[in-house]
Amino acid sequence: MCRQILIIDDEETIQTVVKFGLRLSVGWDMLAASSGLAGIQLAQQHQPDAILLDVMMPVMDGIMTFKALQADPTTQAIPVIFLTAKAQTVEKSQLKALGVSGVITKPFNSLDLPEQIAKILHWSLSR
Amino acid sequence: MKILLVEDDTRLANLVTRHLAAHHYVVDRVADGAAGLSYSSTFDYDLLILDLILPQLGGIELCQKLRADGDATPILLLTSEEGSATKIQALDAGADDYMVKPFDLGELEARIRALLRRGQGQASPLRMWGELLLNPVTGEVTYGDRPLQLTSKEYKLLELLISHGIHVVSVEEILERLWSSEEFPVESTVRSHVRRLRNKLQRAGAAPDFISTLHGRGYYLKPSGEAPPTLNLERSAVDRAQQAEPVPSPVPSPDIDPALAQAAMQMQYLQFLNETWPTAKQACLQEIRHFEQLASSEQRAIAHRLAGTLGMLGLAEAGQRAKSLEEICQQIPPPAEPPEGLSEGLPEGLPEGQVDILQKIREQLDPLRQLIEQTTVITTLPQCPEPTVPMVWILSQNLELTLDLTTAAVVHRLEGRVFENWQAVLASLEVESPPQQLIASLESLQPLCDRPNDLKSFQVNLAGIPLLILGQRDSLGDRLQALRLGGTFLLQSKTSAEQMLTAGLLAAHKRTTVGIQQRLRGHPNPLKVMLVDDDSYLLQTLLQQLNPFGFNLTTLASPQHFWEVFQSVQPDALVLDIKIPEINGFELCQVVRHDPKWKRLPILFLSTLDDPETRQRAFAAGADDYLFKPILGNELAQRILGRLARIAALSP
Repeated sequence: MCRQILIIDDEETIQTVVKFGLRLSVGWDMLAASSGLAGIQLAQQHQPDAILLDVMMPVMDGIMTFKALQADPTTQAIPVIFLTAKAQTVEKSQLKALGVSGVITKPFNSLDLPEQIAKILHWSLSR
Repeated sequence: MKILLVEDDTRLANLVTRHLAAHHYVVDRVADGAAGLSYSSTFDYDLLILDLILPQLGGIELCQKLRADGDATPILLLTSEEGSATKIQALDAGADDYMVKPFDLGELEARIRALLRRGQGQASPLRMWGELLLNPVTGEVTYGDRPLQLTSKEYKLLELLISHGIHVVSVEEILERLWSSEEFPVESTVRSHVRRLRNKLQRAGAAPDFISTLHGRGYYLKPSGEAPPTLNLERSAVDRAQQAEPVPSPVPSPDIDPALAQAAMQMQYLQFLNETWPTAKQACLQEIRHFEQLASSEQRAIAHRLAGTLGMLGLAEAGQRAKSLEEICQQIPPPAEPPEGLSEGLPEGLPEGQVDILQKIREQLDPLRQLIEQTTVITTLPQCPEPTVPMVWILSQNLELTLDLTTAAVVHRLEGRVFENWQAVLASLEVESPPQQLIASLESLQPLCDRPNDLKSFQVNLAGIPLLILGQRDSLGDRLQALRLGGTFLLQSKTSAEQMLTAGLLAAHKRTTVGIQQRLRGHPNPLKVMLVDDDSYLLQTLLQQLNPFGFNLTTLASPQHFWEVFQSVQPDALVLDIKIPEINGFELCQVVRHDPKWKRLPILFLSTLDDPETRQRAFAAGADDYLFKPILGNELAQRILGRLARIAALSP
């Protein structure tokens, strides 16, 4: 099943390699945004199956973006997975307490991402 | 790669020719359009560079004529005119790209590479054949991880052979491609170049017939079993990544070995990381320049971005340096502003602590820059850092103490994490890998003394992790409370942050590595442990993690030859996965148990399945222990040794 995933990360290199990895390994359709605001707009327009959201971003960080997505009836049902570096002070448990579907620690091999996403969201992965 | 340059400006032509020749291109140069037409219709070129204004026949006309004759060679037009009308005219005439004079020679070369790739329907600048990797951007060639020092001709010869792959390249073609039209080499020259190139490849580990000869026909590269099928893809990796519409799922057809398909995919991903690197490298170096000029709050963000990007590109060491840099930046007190121009040395008159921090920044920043500058090829795929970085958790509301401890942790290459209350620690223990140690203030833990259930849960989750409890008073009451909480008491006022960490590390060391090593020393020979799991990544990780414990490890990814290997190893302990293709772990366990000789062999199951039914089946099959993935080497080692110790105790 072809899924559509939105990645919101201010680092374009990360966007690029994640998009490439997911397309290559499972052929999912990818959307990308470099800021929380742009990400919310894309989510509203495209209603992706899941959102990968970087925690630490300038201006509007991942947590603010997540809260905005939750506050909007058109996007609140879209599962969100946080992408976080381990050094960050924000704890995984605190992030989970916010209501996100899961947390994935950077760095990772993007080819392993589909399995991680599928596990978090209980998707079946027909490769 | 052979290029025809049609340029009447001798100075510019010489400059371009010299630059391209230095980068392994063969260049023929003529000074007018008519000669350009005559050369391009006589010889085979990979690319034509035409000046716009030329004597006898202008660049646009030459371009139109070549295209009208069906010549599809990529054309790059050089123009002195900036206006869009000229550019439109050039592109409409059939040119593939244009550059406005004066131009940067590096940019010219990059555009040439791009056009050549496009001409060959290949998006990657990297050329690969089996373990051979040729990087036209840097001119570097490696076989496996070993660099090859090639002459310019050898490099060109190898590049030509890779571009033809298994197809034979004739001696005539090699002569034409590798030498300019003004040189007159003989066939024996080609043979001696091939011989030298073969020798160099062989010294780097390639087979003697890596470059094979088809007598009377020419040379070709031997198809390699390990050669990833990436070279044969119709559309390249980058095309797929960059196209806007969804790509069809590149699911391998059933007749392709999944392991090979997986390896090919990993190679393709690595190739893509390498394609991304030249741009990312410049961006990272730019970030470092910004870092040196900015205020502390922004420095942390830069270090964070660098850590993320470098880590995701597989540059683990550089990513780790950037992460350390980020952690150090976190220690800078908010109002502090680092001085302008870190590179100009440390300023005078700063508080001692801040000078220390600036020095630490410098200690990370210089090696980080060097690592980035020196990396030309990415050779490993990114890996999740867990659980390689030892963690220390700090539970205290005393800001000064937590700052001291986290700073000291950075020095010890530990990752410090601060918690405000015991509930947060417990919540994290439930979802994350446990830390190396926990340092907690007594007052943060005191509430647990009145909550027996929470205390029990806390102690269960913390089992095996050293707990240091920091007290304010040197009283029997406080010491007793620390003991009841399961920790070691330290008087905060008499212990520096450094000592706290060292005490915790010593305790951790004593309980794990040293303890296990002592137990290992009880055995005259290294303990032989056999691991059977189809997840070769897990096997590799466990190999690394169990290495310090001195086991003699044998890993097996497929059960086909299990019995032969098992008999030859005669292990002291066996670790089995359950879901192994063809023969599952239960069956393997039963096979072993049915042989009376192996009735007492410790057999441990390692699985992702956590339902009671599966566990029961494992024990019914004869398992001694059942462990869940993911598992740390430390824990696995302890479980194996625990089993062995019990068996030893039961022995008569």
